[in-house]
Amino acid sequence: MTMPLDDLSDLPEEALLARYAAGDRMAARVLVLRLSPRLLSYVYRLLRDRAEAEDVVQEALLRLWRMAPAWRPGEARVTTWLYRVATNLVTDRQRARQRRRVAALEDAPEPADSAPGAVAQLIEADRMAALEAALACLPERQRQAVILRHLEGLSNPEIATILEIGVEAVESLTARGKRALAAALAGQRAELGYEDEEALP
Amino acid sequence: MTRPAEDPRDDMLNALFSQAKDQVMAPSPEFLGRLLEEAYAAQPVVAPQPHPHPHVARAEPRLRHWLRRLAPPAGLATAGLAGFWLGFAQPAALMAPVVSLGDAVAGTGEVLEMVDLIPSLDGWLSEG
Repeated sequence: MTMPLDDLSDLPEEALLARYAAGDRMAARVLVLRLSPRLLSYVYRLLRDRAEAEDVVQEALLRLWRMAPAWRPGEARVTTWLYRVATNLVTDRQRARQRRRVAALEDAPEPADSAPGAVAQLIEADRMAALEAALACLPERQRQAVILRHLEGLSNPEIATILEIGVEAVESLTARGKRALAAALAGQRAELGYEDEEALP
Repeated sequence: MTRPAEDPRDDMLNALFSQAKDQVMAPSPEFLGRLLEEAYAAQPVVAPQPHPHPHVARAEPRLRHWLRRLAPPAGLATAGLAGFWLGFAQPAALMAPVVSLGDAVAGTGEVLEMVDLIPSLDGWLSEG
């Protein structure tokens, strides 16, 4: 039975998935609208390629739809499960990329150089570009952990489930990742306008 | 207790994180359409349940209530009738094993209930 959109919008993802498995088309719609923007942002941050990010999101959601009839409530959160599937798909793609373009990756530009206009302009786009470039320089697992913790706002136990590692390993990854990011961005404080902001009364 | 001096690099990083956190990528309408299409295609088809006639639907709870109330006396009545029938009708099919048992015990061909399993001792006690 299909419920109106308003009645479904407050339901948790697990309940929506159960309704999806029972044939509710509106539940499918709500799930797509709710899950896809966050998942797309996360995957894009890891891959930095919109078309590839869309492919990964599409594949992750397709796996969720196929899993829906066998979903056991209370066993896992839908979002955590999706992040895990997407992370694994991203890892597969990055490894395939590395195999194809080792030389190109070796020639990857330094973060400071890759942010267009970072020296000249103090605008939000430059800051985001600098952050993305610095994130891209982190080792794969550190990057995943930092993005999940600091950009997606997930808890350490959730990240541990997604990355299939222990909570202590997550803490270590995020701490090291954050230190590496701070070091990579340290030289760009003035360029990104942070020293000017501090100087203001 | 004094707080350790905060690294200004952390401030910058935290500011960048909070700025980036707010930036959620909007999926294009075409992409959303593709996702929805796949979701519908993969959705299990559940056969619709046949709707009962409105009169039946209205009467159903009352019917269930009466069936629940009638169940114990109906069971008792059935058991009583079955006992009555077994006791008086004595159908041949039921009697056959009883007769053959009587035959085996007493060799008389009588129904088991007619066989005197403990014969009188009077014959044994007579003198002479």
